[in-house]
Amino acid sequence: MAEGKDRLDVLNRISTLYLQKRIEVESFEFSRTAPEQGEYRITCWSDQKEVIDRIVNQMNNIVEIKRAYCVLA
Amino acid sequence: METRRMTGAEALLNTFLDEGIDTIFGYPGGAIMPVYDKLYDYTERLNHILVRHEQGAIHAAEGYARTTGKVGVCLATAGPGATNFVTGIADAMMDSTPLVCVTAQVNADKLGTNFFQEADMIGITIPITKWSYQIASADEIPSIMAQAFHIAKSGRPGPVLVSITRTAQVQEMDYCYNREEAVASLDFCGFNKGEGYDAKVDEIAQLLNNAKQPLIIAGHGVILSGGCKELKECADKGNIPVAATLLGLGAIDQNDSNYVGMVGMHGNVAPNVMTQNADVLLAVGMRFSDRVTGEVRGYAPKAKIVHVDIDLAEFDKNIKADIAFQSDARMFLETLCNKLEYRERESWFALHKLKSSFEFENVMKPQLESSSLTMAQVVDAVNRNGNRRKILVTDVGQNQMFAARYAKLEGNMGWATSGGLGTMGYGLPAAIGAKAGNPECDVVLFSGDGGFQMNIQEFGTILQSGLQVKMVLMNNSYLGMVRQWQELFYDRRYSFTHLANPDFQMLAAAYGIKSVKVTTPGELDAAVKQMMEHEGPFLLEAAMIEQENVFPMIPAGKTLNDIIFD
Repeated sequence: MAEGKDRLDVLNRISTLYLQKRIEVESFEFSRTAPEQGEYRITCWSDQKEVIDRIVNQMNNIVEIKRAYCVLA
Repeated sequence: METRRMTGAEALLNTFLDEGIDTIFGYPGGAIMPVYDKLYDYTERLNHILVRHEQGAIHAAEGYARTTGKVGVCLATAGPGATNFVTGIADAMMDSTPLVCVTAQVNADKLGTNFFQEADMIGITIPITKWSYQIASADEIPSIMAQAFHIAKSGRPGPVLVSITRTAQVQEMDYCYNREEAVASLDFCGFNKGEGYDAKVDEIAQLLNNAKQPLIIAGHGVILSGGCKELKECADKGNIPVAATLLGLGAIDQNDSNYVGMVGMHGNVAPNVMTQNADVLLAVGMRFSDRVTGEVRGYAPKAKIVHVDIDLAEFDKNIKADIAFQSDARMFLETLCNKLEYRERESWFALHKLKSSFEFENVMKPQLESSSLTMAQVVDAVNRNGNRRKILVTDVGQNQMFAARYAKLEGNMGWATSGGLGTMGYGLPAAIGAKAGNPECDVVLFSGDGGFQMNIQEFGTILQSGLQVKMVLMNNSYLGMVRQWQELFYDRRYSFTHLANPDFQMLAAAYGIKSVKVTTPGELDAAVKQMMEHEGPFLLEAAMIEQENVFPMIPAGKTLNDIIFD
């Protein structure tokens, strides 16, 4: 879950991070929670936790990550 | 705040002035004509350097930014003008160079219609910019430009692209520049000490104090953060050897007794061997590029690795660190210095002496004393000549590696090279930009004949601007680094690396640039002296032997233990 500005380039930048690593995004939701801000929820699947961790780190340069967690299959 | 009525084009120029920008690099064209029309009235306040190709503008802006610490600004029109920025944007992203690139765009109501010279620069540049934004209305210009400058220079610096529609350029608006208000919401940029900061630095200091064989590797982040003085203080206080990455060269004076050399593929033997034998490795403001680490599985096998960087995304990307600590490099080194204790490390420094004298005797001395003209001799001759502060700029390839290995970056000399992207053609325009930003310095370019011809049209920029760039062309009629790899790893099959070159002396003369050509070591010193003393741009062409190789070398995919010498 991440917070950031409701702007198209943010959405595009986030999806580019997944695209570069060839990770399928299963759902990508945006909901406005405060004026000029928004909350992003991204669900994806990967068997490489460290790849997801790297994306989370990269996303921190775009939006503020509030929560990121993985569920073991 | 007071407002002034003006067009978007004029507002854009005012944002430059409000940001303290005095030099911009650009090339006009259809969609950006409203801005250039207003620029006609701003030439007293904004020094616009007219390049000959947009790629030249962006590399010049990079050279300017890298050697002044300011944000580089470049302008281009829509479509092909804008897409010509792409290589430079990617280069700046890799090397953390703060740029604001302004490209024009078609009218807002024509977007998406494949209008003449329309190219989706936001879509094209998303993966290679820190931020990008398309301005559709003039009202947005002050706040977006304030954010653009803030994002470009804050945290880990990088390029920002602003695509400004023609509509926004011609609209009228009430101009008011309120930087603080515009950037207030950008809380993810920059870095502040958080809770537990000092405790973490304590832990790192403890590790270093207890280490028998510690090594600091200084990267570009040390220079970008302004932490060179703090780095030296740490090295002195803890008696810790310091190595530098290619982009970190100059972070510590190369005459410093703690400096042990450059790490990496064509780095010095001592720091590479020391990396493999260190018990604590402190990497500050660097990203463990593959050119630094070689095969990562064999990297620094005995060391506890401490990685300090401002960019969270760099942690555990290439090398898994035992301690990964997010911080501004200068802030970290300043805090660390107070906690370090002096330790005698005689045998550890003795390893450096042993390996560096081995390298000098077996690699450097033969190249410096060769009876044929070598690149090492050329770089060494530049070291010995000139009285003013020097800024060295390189292109990419063998010329770059010889410059990195043999140049003496002493005092507060500047250094600009294309590291991450390895952009041939970077050197000449970057040197122009460096000179524009540092008119009081001698800016010396080292280039090969391949890269030189990739942006040789920028001779025209030198002619028109009068910028006194000193160009050292090391001409071996080959794409030397590719030829070297073909010799070593492709069975000497020299596939398309030989270059049939023009007469560079005549070419320089055509642009009014004084030049001289040398072919033997004996002519070198006098020619370099002539170049450094000449009041004007100068081309020194050194005709090299074709077969010269850069050694030592760590072949791709090998570890730092696998250094080859021939």
